[in-house]
Amino acid sequence: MKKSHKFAIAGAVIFLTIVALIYTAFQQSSVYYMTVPELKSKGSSVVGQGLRASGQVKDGTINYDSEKLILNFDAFEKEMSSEIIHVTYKGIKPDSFKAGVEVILEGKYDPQENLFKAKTLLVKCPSRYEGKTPPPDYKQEKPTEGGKV
Amino acid sequence: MIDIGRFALAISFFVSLYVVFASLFGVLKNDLRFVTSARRGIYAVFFLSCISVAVLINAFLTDNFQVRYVSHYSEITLPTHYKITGLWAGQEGSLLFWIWGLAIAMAMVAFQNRKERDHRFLPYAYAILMVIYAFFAILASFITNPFELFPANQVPPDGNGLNPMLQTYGMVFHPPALLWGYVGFSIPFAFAMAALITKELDPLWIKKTRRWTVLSWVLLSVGNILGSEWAYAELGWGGYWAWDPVENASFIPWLTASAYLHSVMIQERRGMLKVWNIFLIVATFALTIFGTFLVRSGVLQSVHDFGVSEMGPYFLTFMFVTIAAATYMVYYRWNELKSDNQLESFLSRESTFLLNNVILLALAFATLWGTMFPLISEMVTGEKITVGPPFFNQVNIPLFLVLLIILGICPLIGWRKATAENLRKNFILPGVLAIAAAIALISSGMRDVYAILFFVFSVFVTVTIYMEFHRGVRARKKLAGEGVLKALGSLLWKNKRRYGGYLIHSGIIMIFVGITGSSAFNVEETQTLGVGEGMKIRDYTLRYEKIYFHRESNYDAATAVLTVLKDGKKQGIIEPEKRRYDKYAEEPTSEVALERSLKEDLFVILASIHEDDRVTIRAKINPLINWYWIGGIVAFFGGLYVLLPEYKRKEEAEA
Repeated sequence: MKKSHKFAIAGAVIFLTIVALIYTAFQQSSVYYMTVPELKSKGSSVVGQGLRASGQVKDGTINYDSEKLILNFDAFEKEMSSEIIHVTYKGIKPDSFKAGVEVILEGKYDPQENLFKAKTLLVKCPSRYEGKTPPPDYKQEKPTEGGKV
Repeated sequence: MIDIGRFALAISFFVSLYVVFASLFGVLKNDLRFVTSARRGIYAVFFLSCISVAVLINAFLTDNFQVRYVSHYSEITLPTHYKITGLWAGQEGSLLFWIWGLAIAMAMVAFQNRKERDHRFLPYAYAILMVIYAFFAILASFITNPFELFPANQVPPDGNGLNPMLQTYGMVFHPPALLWGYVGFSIPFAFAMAALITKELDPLWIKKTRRWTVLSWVLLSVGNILGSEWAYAELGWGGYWAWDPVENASFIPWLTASAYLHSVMIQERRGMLKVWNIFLIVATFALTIFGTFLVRSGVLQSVHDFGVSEMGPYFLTFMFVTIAAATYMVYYRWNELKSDNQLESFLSRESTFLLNNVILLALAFATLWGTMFPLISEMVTGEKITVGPPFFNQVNIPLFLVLLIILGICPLIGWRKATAENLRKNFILPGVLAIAAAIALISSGMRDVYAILFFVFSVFVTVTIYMEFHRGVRARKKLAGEGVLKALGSLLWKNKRRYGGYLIHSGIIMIFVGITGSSAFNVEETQTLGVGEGMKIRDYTLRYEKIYFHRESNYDAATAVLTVLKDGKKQGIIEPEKRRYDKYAEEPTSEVALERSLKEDLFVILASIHEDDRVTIRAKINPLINWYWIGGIVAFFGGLYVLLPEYKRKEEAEA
């Protein structure tokens, strides 16, 4: 066999191994990423599957048992605030968690009880690394900048 | 005063256009006067950008809140060093900081090559760099200008303050290292393109930019490691890397840059892989732009939420133009890019380098794929599908394992073709010691397969590195009749590139050891405690003594005092803290308390405070984690060592 053939075959083997590695990992660990309304409309098809969901924390629904470390709250999507889900999370309430923040949940959804059991809870806090929005009287920003600072 | 900064920035944009024109005109008409003038233009750009930066820093230091940017990221009571870091706290400033870095680098390149008259690629490189500069200067001058002012009658009395998460030493070094690491890759990129344009494709462009490549790589590495240290010690979730899109955005160019760093050596020595090297440097440069785009465009869900801006499309366009131009140039010069040599054997150093490149690229691709998949799937199917850390771990851990073993094998194999004798002689010692380590680990009860493999391979590689030093010293002792220490000294001094490289590799092994230990064997406990009560975590006991409340310059704090006992013996006191910054009263932050040792870290967070001064404490033990930071420091110094001036001699060093 010619040397260049040998290298081509070795290259192909390595390449296919890597593709197979990525493919199997992907099959095993990819999850749907849904908003609250999507979760409610498709919820029954994803029972028992790992999911990622994003939503906003509804005011007045936060219930945190700081002794047992159980956090319950309702989440909704900004555009369709009538659709809500109940969320329960066992763990420490993150520092930046409060009503109105956007959260990313990972866990499983039970459509019967409309309950999302979150294994992880990440707070997406808009002002986390950027400065706060200045008070309204000082604010004369270009419209694009005013959207999210 | 502020206007001076604004004008300096705008003028630098026009000067950069002049430099593009003058250097191109000079090289096309063979008129050196224009090239000289272009070089002076580069100095002028450097000078102007320094003025802009100085003006902005001064605005921070003098609390000039009429400047929007300053009022966004500073306040009167902010400590001075954090006021200076305000320069890169937000988008407008970090863009200016980026520009400044590019201007400094360009001025240095122009100065280094001021006497160079024979190489036509220099003026082209200047022109390309200045196009890059002009692009960023337009953004900074006209799209997100850091010098924008409030109307004089609406100046706020105080600024909004710097986000508490940014008020930490991580902030002082992490962003500049990362940003300037990004910037640095513009230099080899521009030289590669210039070499293509002028057909001067001998490795001279690589030699001329080698230091820039190493420096940028070192900065990017340091930036990434400091970022993870920051996440670990400041953000308080107990980890240091989460495969978050923003982290990946800086990790992917690091991978391609590492590949480039190795593959150019093959081009220098053997005249091979010319197209591949150009591909790698173009990819690295494009990925730095892409990283900036990912971070700023908000297209991906990330916990690092930088403000979403309208800059995304500009970066994306710039990246595509870059890639298209580079692809065209490679196509255009295809015939000149043929290899001088062929691969001769699987068992050659060339092929280990090649495998190292393939693995690094596979890592880059898998990480990019996982990061971008939510976007791709949404575009194709309308449903968002994401992958989390399990995906990245499942793919990347085996790849890292292969990378680690290549790190050990590579120096054992000679260039071109290794003989069986050579292999047997070199592999026996590291092989035997690695097997011994495996037996020791398994018999001590370790069952985690990946952890065992990582530790065993680390032993293997460490031994091979030791052997390299040993062999070199022995040869010098024999040849030059020097004592051991003197032989070691002159060995290191005369082969900086080689032994600096080994130093970097030792650092990388320590990093692998740190990651393996802390991810495979960490323990975590959370408990609510009353005063005097204790909690157990492995062989530690934490006894909660008291809590006290105090006022600092710009925040209120509550500090819990806990005694650390190990096997019943008092080890020390640990004080996790909760802070409430004046300007961010709604977002309390946690200050992690760390008890660090080479063996492990005790990581303690004050999660919440209840009535009767009861507190919830989260504690974690992270074994071996400090080897991660130590490895980073070792690799950093290894990189600096490589950057020292080379020892001059007639013959090139055996590398």
